[in-house]
Order: sequence, then C-alpha cells, then structure tokens
Amino acid sequence: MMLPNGRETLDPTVFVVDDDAAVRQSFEWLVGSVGLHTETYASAQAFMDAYDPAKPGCLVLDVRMPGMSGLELQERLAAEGVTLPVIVVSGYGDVPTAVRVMKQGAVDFIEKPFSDQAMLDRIQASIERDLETRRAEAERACARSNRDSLTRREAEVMDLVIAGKSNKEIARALAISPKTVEVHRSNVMKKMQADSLADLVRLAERTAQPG
Amino acid sequence: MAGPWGTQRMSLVLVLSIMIRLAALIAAGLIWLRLRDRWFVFLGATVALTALRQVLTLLSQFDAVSQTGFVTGNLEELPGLAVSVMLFVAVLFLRRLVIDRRAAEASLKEGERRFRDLIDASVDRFWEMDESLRFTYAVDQSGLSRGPSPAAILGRTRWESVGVDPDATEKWRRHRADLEARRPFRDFRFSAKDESGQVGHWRVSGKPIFDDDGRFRGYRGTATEETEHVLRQEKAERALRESEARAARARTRLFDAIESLTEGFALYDSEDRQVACNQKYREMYPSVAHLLVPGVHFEDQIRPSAYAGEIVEAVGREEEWVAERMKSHLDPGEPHEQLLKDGRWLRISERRTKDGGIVGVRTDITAVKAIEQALRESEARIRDYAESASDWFWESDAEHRFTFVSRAGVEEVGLRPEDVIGLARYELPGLMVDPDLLARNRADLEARRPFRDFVYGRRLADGRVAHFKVSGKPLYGKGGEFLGYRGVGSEISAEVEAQDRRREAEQRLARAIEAIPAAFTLFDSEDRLIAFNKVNQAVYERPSAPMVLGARHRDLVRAFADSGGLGGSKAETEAWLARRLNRRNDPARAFEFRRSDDSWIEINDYLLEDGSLITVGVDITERKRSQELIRRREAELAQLLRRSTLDEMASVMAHELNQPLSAMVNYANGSLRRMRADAVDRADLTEIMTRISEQAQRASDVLRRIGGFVGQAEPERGPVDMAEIVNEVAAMLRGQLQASKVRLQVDLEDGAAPVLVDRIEIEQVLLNLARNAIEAMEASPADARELRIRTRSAGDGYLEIIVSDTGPGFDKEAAAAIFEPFVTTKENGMGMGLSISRTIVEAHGGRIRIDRRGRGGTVRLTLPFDCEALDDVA
Repeated sequence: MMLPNGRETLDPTVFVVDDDAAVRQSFEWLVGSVGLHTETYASAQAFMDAYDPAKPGCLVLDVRMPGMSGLELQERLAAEGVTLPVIVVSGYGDVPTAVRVMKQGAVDFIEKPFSDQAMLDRIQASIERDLETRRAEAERACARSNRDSLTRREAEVMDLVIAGKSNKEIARALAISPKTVEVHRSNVMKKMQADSLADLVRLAERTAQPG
Repeated sequence: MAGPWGTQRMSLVLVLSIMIRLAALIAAGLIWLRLRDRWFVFLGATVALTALRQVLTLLSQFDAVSQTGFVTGNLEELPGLAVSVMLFVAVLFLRRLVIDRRAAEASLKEGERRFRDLIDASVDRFWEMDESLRFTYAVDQSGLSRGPSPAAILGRTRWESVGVDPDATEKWRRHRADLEARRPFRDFRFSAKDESGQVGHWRVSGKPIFDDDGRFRGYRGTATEETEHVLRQEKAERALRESEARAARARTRLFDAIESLTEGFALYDSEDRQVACNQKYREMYPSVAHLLVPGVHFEDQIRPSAYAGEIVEAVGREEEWVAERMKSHLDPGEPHEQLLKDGRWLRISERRTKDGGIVGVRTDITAVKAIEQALRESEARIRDYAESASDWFWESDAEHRFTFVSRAGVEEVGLRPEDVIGLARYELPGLMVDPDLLARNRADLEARRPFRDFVYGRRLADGRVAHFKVSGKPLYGKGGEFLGYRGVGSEISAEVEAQDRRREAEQRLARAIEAIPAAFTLFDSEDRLIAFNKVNQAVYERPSAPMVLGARHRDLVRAFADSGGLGGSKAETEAWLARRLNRRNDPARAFEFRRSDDSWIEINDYLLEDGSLITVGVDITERKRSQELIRRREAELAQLLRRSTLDEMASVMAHELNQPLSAMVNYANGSLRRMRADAVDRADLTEIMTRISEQAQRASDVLRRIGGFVGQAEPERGPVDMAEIVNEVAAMLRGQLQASKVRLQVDLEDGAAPVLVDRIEIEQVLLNLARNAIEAMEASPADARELRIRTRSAGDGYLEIIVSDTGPGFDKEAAAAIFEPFVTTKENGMGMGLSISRTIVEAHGGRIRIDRRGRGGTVRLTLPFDCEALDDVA
C-alpha cells in the first residue's frame, strides 16, 4: 500500500504488554489465530525501549503491572506524541482506574476476562484507526509542503480565494489586474494539487491545522 | 830627807793601802752577807780581819802624817798588806771557782727537779713498747689510776689491753696507723675498764725510739689519766645542755603562752622590729600574715596592710593613717579600737617594755561590738515599741468622763480631743460596740477594776467606721480616793479589717471546697479532719461514717470499709484497707476501687509539705463505663477492619484469578479459531491444552486460598504448623510480591512444634505485616527489595516469627506508637493494621514488637507452642 507521501506502510503489529507470561502467550496465540503479527513485552519499560514509532498497529496494555503501570505508559506515550491506539485491559474492581484511563484518551477499554471476538474487533478497529491517522498525517504533511512552494503573491491570492472573493475583488484588493489574478489562481490550484475550489479549501484548512 | 816630793809619795802609798784594805773588808763583808759559805766566810773573815787591822794601822799612820805632814815609819807594812790583798784576791778567785761549780750543779739539780715535778703533776704512767708495739714497761706515778694496771698491759698492745678492735673505729685505726708508721703521736684519748670495772679515761703521747744505728726499738711515752677531768667536763657539758634545755623550755613555754593567748600578741624590739608574735596576731591581719615575722619593721607591716584595704579607717588615706598609727605605736597611750574590712573590731593595747621594745596586744571585740550594737538597737526598738504600742493617752474622772486625751495619735486618726472631753466613752457619738462587751466594760468601770483591750467601733463624722482598742486602770489619790481612770488607746481599724478579710477568705475557701465536684477532705499532719465538703456523703455513701471535724483519716477509711460497701470477704476488705492506708506513704498514683454495687471510685491523695493530706474522691462509674464502651467499640472496629482487609485481599485475589482465567480463555478461543479455519497444528494444540490445564490449576489454587481465608468466621485455636501459615501467606502474597518486585526469603526453623493459634487470625497478622513491609519498600531500589520471614524457637515455650524488610525501617517515635490504634506511617493507612495485629497476638498470649536494630524494618512476634505437642515431643 502506498501512502500519499510515497512512503510504504509496514504490516500492522499488535503490541502486548503484560507481566503475566501465561497471559502474554495466550494472547499471542489468540491474535495469531486471525493472522495478525504480535510483539509481546513483560513490562512497559521493555516496550518503551523497543518501540519504533514508525510501526503501525495498536497497543494492548494490562492496567495492573509492576514497575511502570499501564497508566503511566499511556501517559508517557501521549507525552511523546505517539498516536498508537491503546486498548486497556483491566481486571476485576479496577473500574475507577479504567475511567481515568479513558479520560486520558485511551482508545478502548476492555475488562478481563474478555470475549475473543470483542477483543479482536477492538484490535482491528484500533489498527484501522492508526492507519487512518497515519494517512491523514501524511496528507497533511503533503499539503503543507505544497503550500510552502507558493510565492508570496500566490499565497495572498489563495487566502482571498478561500475567503470566497471573486477574481475582481481580489484584483482590487491586491491592486493587480484580474488577468494576473487568474494566472496566480491557476498556479495555486496546480501547486496545491487541488481539483476544485472545495478541494483547495480542504487542503488549505489542513495546512492550517497544527501537528 | 824630807822634801815635798818625799811627803807626797808617802801619802799616796798610804791612801792606796787604806783603799785596798777597805776593799778587802768590803769584799769580805759582801761574801759574808751574800754567800754564807762557811769556808769562805771563815777565809773571808780572816782576810777581812787582817785587812781591818792593817787599815787601822794605816789610819793611825795617816793621822801622824797629817799632824806632821809627812808619812813616817811603818812603810814596811806595805808588802804585808799587798800579800794580804793578793791573798784575798786569791781567796775570791778560789771561791769563784768553787761557787760557780756548785751553782751549776745546783742549777742542774733544780731544773731536773722542776721538770720532774712538772711530769709528776701531769703524767700518771710512763711506758715503753717494743718493736711489735707491745708494752714492755709501764710504771704508774700513783696507784690511784683507773683502767688497766701496768701489770695488766705488759706484753700486750694498747688496743689489746683496752679490749677494742683497732679496726672498729676511725680513732683507733688512725692510732694504729700512726704507730705502724712509727710517727710520734700526741694526746691520743681513749677509755678503758680496769679489772674492777671502773672506767678510766686516758690520754697518751709517745714517740718512737731509734737506737744509735737508727733501728726502730719501739715507743716510749707517757699516759695521763684524765677520768676526773673528763667526768668533770661531761658534767659541765651536761649542766650546760640542761641549762640550754631549760632556756629552750622556758622559751617554748613563753611562746606557747603567747600562742595560747586568745588575744593577738606581738613584741617589737627597741628598733621597732618584730621579735615575736602569735598565730592569732597573724590571723587578725591575713593579707600581711606573711610579713608578720620576726625581723620585720612594724611600719613595713602596717603599710601593706593599709594598702590591702584591711584597715577600714585607712582606706583612701593610707599614708596619713600610717603616720598616725606610727605615732600612736611609738608613744603608746590608751588602748584604741580598729575596724577591719571583714567587719571585725580589734582593741589594740600597746606598751613600752623596759628594754625599749613595744609589746602590743590585740583583742577581738567584734562580739562585744555586736552586743553593744544590738543593745543600742534593742534600746531603740524598745523606745519605738513604747512609742508605737499605743496611739494616745487618756484620762477620765470619777464619772468616767474624759478629762484628757493626748493630741498626738488622736489627731492622726482624724479625731479631735476636744470633741470627746467631757463625754464618757459609752456616750461617744456613733459608738458601735458589742452590747455584751460594753456591759462588761461598764461593770469593770463601776467596780473600778483595770481593763484591757476593750474593743469598740465608731462611725465618724465623715461616715467611715474606725475601730479602737483601749486599756485603762483606776487612779487613786493620796488619801485613797478614786480619781478616775488613766489609760492608752489605739486605733485598730486595719487589724479589724484584716480579720474581717481573713474570715471572708476562709469562708470563700470553704465555699470553694464545697463547690468542688468531688469528695474533698483535708487532714492535718496529726491525721485529723480539718476541712471537707458535702460531696463526701454522695461519693462515699456512708451514713454511719462519723464525718466530723477532728475525725481521723484512718478511722474514716475503716468505717467506710466496715460499712460493707466494698463487698467481698473480710480478708479482702482488710487487704483493701491496708492498700488504702498505705497510700499516705506513697500517694503517687490514683487509687481506684470498685464497690459492691459495681460503681467505681477514684481517690487522689496529695501529701502537702506540712504533712497534711488532701484526698479527692470522685465517682468514676460513668468514666469506667465509657472506657468499657470504647474498648468494645475498638473490638468492633477491629472486626470491621479485618473485614476491610478481606475486601482488599479479594481485589488482589480477583486479579490473581483473572490472570489464569484470561490465559485459559485466550488459549481456548485462539484454538477454536484455528480449528474453524482448519489451520491448526496438532502438536501446537497439545501444547496449548497443557497450558490451559496449568492455568486452570493455578486458578484453582487461588480460589482455595481465598476460600480458606474468608470461609472461617469464628476464631478457633488449634495446633498449627507455622510453616504452613508462612507458606500460605507467601502464596497469597505472590501477586503483590511480583507487582512490587520484592523478593521473598523464607527461613523456617526445622522441626518446630506446632503453635496453638487461630490459623486465620495469625495468617491475617502475618499477611498484614508482610504487606506493610512490601509497601515500606516501594521507595527502595528494585534490586534491594527483600522481604524475609523467619521463625525460630524463642524459649519458654514460644516460637518467634520475624518479619523484616529492606525499607527505611521505623523511626524511634513510630516504633513506640505504631501499635496504637490510628497510628500509621502510611499516607492512606488507617493505622489499625498493627493495632489489630497486636490485639490478636496478645490474645494468643504472645508479644509483638518493633526491633529497631539493624537496617530496614523488623517486627518480631511470639506465639505459644502447643503445650500438648511439646509434651509429646518431650
């Protein structure tokens, strides 16, 4: 699969962090049954040490772990701008913790013991989301680079076009001829790889978004 | 032939002849007179007579010549005369020869005799000794000498004769050396005993004898006995010594006498230098005591004393004082007094001695001075008393009306004498007096008896009330007629007011005591009740007790005990009494006791410094009940907390259970999916099934433990192997240990007997301790977290269980209080865990404590072995 920015995506991976070896292994066995690749880690630290942000996928965390807890790991990832979706697995009685986890923006929350289907669905959904996020990010990066290629005049013209001004109005505002506006507008459409005015607006908005 | 020449020649011969014969005559006389030698007298006399005859003859011729002027005849006589003269000269010469020889002989004899006499007088013995220094000859002058006789010494040396060892003393050594060196010696002195034991003192001298050939032949010498002399000398020396000793004794006695004087004594010579002084004298002037020694000039003693500030009157004017003092010292007159800086007074008496010296005596008159001072003060005081004893004087007439009131005193209290003159005392305006007192006073007056201290009050014109005290005695005239009274009066308003205030204070105190919500009693040092309040009745409830002032504490206590309120046997009552009464000796702690009606009383005793005793009794039944209630609540709370511990445990257990269950489900679901997809490897499946089975077993273990912990409700003690409990707890802790990365080290004593405990309770205690320990290590480095559980026999039938961690340990404060309820070191702890643990352990008869030795936290607890099991082992 090719992303808009030309980079090839990697196969999505299910990262599993759990201190209990039996749980880890059994999870690997379950996830493997739907053909997904799994990487397991015994602790949050081990995961942090080995994690490559370029790898898409999702993270399955046990909330209750020695050392760095699932919660802490999630906070660390968020702080480092890692957008990897997180599925938090909690045990009995951990509801308050789970609520906190959700509030901190974890993708999903699932209570142990869980049904395999529910878990696998969540994993699939999370991976999809991650891929989508990564695609959008790539698009945004592309639009930003296109915008950066505009000349100052072209950028001014684009801003006015997006603001819904007619060519005449733009020519008046910039004290140039409508003909010249026409030329600039054409260049803007080309450089921004926009098919239509609506497309241009969308792309321009994307470049304005931070991140 | 007669001529002048012929005549002259004749007269010359005649004169010559006369002269020669006269000379012979004179010589004969001289010889006769001087030498009285018979021979020469005879010879001389003959010659002299012849000469005389011839002279007479010649004279007669001379007469004739003078008559005739010429010598006539008899000139033939001249040759005879010449012969006679020659004969005489010859006799003289002869005599000279004889007499000179005789004189020489006599002189020699005389010298010898004199020498002999000298020797005789000083020498008692002559002696000789041979070459071998042994006596060969000895002869005594007199037979009276003391010491060895001449016969006894012959053939012996001197030392042998005396019987001494010549090497023994220096004296004899030197003597023998002299002898052996053949030196002469003089005055060698020794003493020796003779046969009769008499001691003789001898002095010997001797010189060596050499023969003509120069050969040594021995010694010759003399010996003088000087026993008498020595004895005399000794006696004289003894006498001298005695007289010296007597003088010394006299001196000592004198000094002793001086020393023993209670006065300071000092003697100065005519040059004013100290001759002697006694210690007392030195003590009087301590700053110059070192100068108060013989030889020091008086002035050199007093000047430093003055500058040392020792003499009060000399301070600041030292030189001036020294001059004055020297004047009075050198010309002593009347004794004078001297004040020293330490407050002592000295009386100084000085007097000239006959030899021009000065003797000074100092008497310490401090006491006298003090007495004088005291006397002066006392006189002044008496005067003051006399002046202050009363404020005024009064006189009244036979009708008891005032005729005189002294102005002084009366005016000071704001009254005027003229206001009362003419009035009787009982007529004074504003009189306030106790009617009885007034009646008695009037009776005294009527009977003309003296009265004392009649007290009355008056409301004065300015509205204030003054109190007075008067005394008086009747006055009679010369004829015995009654004249009235005379007396003194004082204002005593202040006293009366003070008395009122005191009474008020006493009442206030009594009210305060009454208001004390406890049974208050005060006993004096004689154990008599002097104050109490009514609460006593309520607290002690003893209607029969003689609670009256003066009652004795022990009687009251006994009466209370005997009233039966205590319940119990007679012996118990006696024991209680003994305890209660002994408290007077040791009132440190509150005394609590229960009465037969289950009410409680607490008595606090306070022993005051003056020996009086305060007892404060309180009915503490309510307090006791509250305490009981609190105890019960605590127990309930403990139960509650135990349950909360269980809840917490359950959460842990749930997690523990969830793990294997999750794993099982995952394995099963994974397998199912593979089977449905027909993508299953048989070997894989077998492996997975084995794992599922393992996890099922794991879940089962967890469940069994929870069941054990929760299932039992009622405590039930029985013999339990501690190892089982420890292992069980270890299993329960596994999850938490893993989660907290704590290593567990278990060290159990081999073959320990079972303990008699409630298994669940002890598991709870151990679990609690272990969990505390794990939590305490949260901040420790992960590789240093170690929990140790050890057991060992502690002796006395107890097993000790030691739970220790590598955390920060307990500080001193925490160690002391940690077992109290609601004391915790944890942020979210309730502080009940260790409190409950202690309750449980102590309920088992064991003990639990913090051990602060070593690093980390250590809790030690003991539990009793099962006695039966122990007996079986024994």
